[in-house]
Amino acid sequence: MFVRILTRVLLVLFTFILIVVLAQIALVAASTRAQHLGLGDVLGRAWEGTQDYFSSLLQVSLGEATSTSILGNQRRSMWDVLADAYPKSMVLVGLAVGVATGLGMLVGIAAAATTSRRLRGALLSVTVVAISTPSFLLAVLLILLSATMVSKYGIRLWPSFGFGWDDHLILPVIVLAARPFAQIANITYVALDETLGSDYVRTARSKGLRESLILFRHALGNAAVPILGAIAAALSIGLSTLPVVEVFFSWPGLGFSLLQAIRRFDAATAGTLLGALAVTIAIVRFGLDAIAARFVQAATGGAA
Amino acid sequence: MRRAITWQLVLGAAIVVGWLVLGLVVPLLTPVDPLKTRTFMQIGTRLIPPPFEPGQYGYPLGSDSAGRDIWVEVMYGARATLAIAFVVLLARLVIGVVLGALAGWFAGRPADRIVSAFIDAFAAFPTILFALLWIFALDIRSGITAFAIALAVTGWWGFGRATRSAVVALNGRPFLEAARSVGLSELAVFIRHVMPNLLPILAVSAALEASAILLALGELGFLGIVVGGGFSIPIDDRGLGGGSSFIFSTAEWGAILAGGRFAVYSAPWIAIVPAAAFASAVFGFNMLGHGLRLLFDRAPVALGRVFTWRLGAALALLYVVVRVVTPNIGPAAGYVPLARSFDADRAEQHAAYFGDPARQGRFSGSPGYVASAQYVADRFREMGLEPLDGGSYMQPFKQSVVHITSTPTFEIVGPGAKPFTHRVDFSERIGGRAAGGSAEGNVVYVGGGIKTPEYSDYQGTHPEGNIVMIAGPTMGDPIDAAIREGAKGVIFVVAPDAPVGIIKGSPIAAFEKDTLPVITVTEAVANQLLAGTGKNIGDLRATLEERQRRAQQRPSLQRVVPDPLSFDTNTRVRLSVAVSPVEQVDTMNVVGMIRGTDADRAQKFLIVGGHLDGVGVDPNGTLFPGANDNGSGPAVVIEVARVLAAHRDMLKNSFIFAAFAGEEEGLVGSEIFVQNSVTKPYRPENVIAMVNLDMEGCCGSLAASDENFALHDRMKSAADRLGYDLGYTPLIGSSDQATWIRRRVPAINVGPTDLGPFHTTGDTVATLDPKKIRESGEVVVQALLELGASQ
Repeated sequence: MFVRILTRVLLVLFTFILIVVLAQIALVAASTRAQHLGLGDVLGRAWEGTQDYFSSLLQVSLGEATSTSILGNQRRSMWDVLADAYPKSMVLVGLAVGVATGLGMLVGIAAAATTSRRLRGALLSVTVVAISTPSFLLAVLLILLSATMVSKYGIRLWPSFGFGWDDHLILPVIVLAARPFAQIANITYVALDETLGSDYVRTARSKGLRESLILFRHALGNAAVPILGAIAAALSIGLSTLPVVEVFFSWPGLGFSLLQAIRRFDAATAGTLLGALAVTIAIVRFGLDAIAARFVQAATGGAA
Repeated sequence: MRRAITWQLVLGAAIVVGWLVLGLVVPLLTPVDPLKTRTFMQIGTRLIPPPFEPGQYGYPLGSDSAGRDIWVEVMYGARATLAIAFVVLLARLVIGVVLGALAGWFAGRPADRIVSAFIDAFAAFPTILFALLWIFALDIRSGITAFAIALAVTGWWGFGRATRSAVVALNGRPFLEAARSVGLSELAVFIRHVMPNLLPILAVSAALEASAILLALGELGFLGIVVGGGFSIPIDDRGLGGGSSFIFSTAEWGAILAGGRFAVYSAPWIAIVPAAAFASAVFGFNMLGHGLRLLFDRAPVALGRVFTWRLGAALALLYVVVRVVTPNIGPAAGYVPLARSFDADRAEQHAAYFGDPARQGRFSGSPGYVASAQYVADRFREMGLEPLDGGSYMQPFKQSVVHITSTPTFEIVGPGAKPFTHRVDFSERIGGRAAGGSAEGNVVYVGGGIKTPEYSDYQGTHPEGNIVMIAGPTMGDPIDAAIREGAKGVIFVVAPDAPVGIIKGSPIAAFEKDTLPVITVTEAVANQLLAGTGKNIGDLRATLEERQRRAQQRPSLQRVVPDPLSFDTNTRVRLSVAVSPVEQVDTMNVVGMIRGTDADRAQKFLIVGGHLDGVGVDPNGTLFPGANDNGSGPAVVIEVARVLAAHRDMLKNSFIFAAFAGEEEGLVGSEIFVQNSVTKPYRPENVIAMVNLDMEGCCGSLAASDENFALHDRMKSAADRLGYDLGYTPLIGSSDQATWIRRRVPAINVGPTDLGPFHTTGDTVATLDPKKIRESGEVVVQALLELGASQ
């Protein structure tokens, strides 16, 4: 147990160091493009930058980042940038993954449990379409929808862009949640469909257990592992779509700040923010893995 | 048994193949150029600016804000976008399968641990942002390559993970043990029995991965990251309203999306059409993947039978043969003998004529210049070039010039008085805020002469009425800062290793209201001025450069703004520069043309030029021959024209050959040429590329400027074909190509990596090296033929 946790912690650390180093190399190469430096020089400078970065990190200071405020080039401590942008992005992604998981499982269960072929077909078609809808198409269509509603019917559905802990969340969350929702619904359906046809479910049925009990106690428990996998994938999709959503809806989160940092070749800031994202993904993934392991353990009677 | 060929498979394959076919045959379907912009549509007397709505004016799906036909763009885009997706897919597949198979085969051993750690780490990276980082690192202007590598590096782990778990699952299976027991080696077991069993899984993941790659490409486009970079130019200079139009070099779905993302309210179709194209292709690949999975589940095809090693070897052989043969049989290879026929000795004779002391350094409009222009025109006539318009090769115009009327002086006055030597110890600078006049005062060292709201190099010094000395990295306009601080003169110090030392620069006849006399001195002179202070200019400069480097490279270390190094000195100096009033001289460009043989393509032009003028003579009669800068340029232009004129039947596009005046005074001649061309067929819009030749005969190795990456690439591949290596020039945007670059026309300067003795008395005919002239000439001929003669 202890070894496993240590391995995971080391892996998270490795992920963080790797992304900081790669960000340094990439941004040094990008910012010295005009000088046509050799690979050796680029790597040398990136090494210097990495040293600086980690030595200041060890002194619990992330140095300064040029901020992106419209007031001009103020210098802010990188902690401030991180503390400002990180919650804004994480709430967005967290909400999106939450909505996607809830709705996705609901639709998946409904499709597996229903006896109506038509309903099942309709639900599955929705997931197939949603899984192939790029975030940018959905974003543009939703914006158009709200614009049309205002101009034609005078109904204001939701704010089209900007930041706020209120209905400003609606559009970004819908766009972020759409594909993960479809994926989770699909995987829930497939997993349930498989287990519902298996022997032990038939045994449970023959014992005369209620259908809902079978569904939630027996089948869902067994389908938990693929569903947890799908949630982890949903988180990756959400975080990867984040910059698109943040830029399009002017949401001042991590993706937004990162794009600015990359465009300014600010390797330290880019490394920090990318590292924060990667570490978050890694930790949540490992957490979900651990939960999945519990389920496997429960299913196999603790043998694992 | 349920059917193996499902509707998902058929639909998916139909969509994917449909887009591919559409992308390939689109040139047959429509004659419209996908990159053709349109500034307005004239309906009666009304001028209607783009974007045009779908269905209007013959645009089935509308136009984007630059007037390009979106439907045609999308069809051509299918080609580019799917091609990128396939390249990325292949790269991911190769990296992922190799590493994943390695890890799976050695599961639990160190190799597996390492690969698995990397897979886990990369799986945690945010895809789009990480890809974007690498696209910038690999230079977005390098086109598809940067996208392919960046997206491959970001996403290989998906295949890695799938392959690893598949191999682990196979590893314990009895048939492998059986294979081992009959004596097959591990490698043979792997290739013959593991690989074929991986193929179905890989085929399914490849289809799904393709849809993920397309989504990533679309999202990058939506963030404004498109193949080739692209750029926005303001369109309000036409007076038809504000905004900007997005220009890109490859018709690709992401690029259209990038142009449309900010016009969602006013012109939603610009974003929706490419986004829908992305969605349909993503849908197609998803269906294809799903269908393939069902196919392999229901009808276990023995893919191993199809993909034998013989087929693999045959495909590899075919690829190698195609790769080896193409460069040697294509039209480009056929141009090599033509390029080799470039006559470098003759070019050197031309350069010798231009650099002869009798030409007196060819100052624009001087008798020596006019004689040289006549010489160029005579050569053009000799080889039968067509005069441009008006029946003459000469394109006369008036140019404003100023001269220095006497030798500028610079001396230390008072104790330790000492005069310095013009053109050895110092040189004047004239133009803009630097003009004639004399000044006397104490030397005040002000570092880089930087003055911003947060930082001033003038802090703690007394520049009023004195002479400021600037040595070190500067920012903004240091002369302007000096004027505002009340200085009476400015001394710049050149570093010993600077590419440009003490040289004669032509005075630029354009001045600001407030001006100062300005000179440039060597570091040795600067150290004499600092003699009483115990400081050394090289150390001061090094400190400032190190500070600047740290501020740029290692911003995390810069906690406080450093104090300036500036100080007053007691050294008193006097400097004086005498400048004549602005006068107009008659001068001319020399221009000749070869018309293309293809009626359509003859409307598009390739321009080859170089400036003919030099910096002339000093008031005391010192001659600056300018044999290399730039007698060599027009000399090569003449001989390139001779080769092309001898094979004019081959030329599809039209070619213009030019020798420009007034380059030394700020690209005056080429600017006049372009301004006169706006009503002519060879206006910037119709210029495919401009190749400028500046300093072809002396120093350093063959190189070209890289303002336009694609053109540099073409030039480099032409050089490769001829067996030469083409590098990058240190001075970008400093010669006549900049006139076209400024108008978004691809342009390049072919020049040396080393400027040699340019703008000095040493730039004589003796320094010319026929070998260098030959390299430049051959590469230019080859590149021009590849651009303007092949299909």
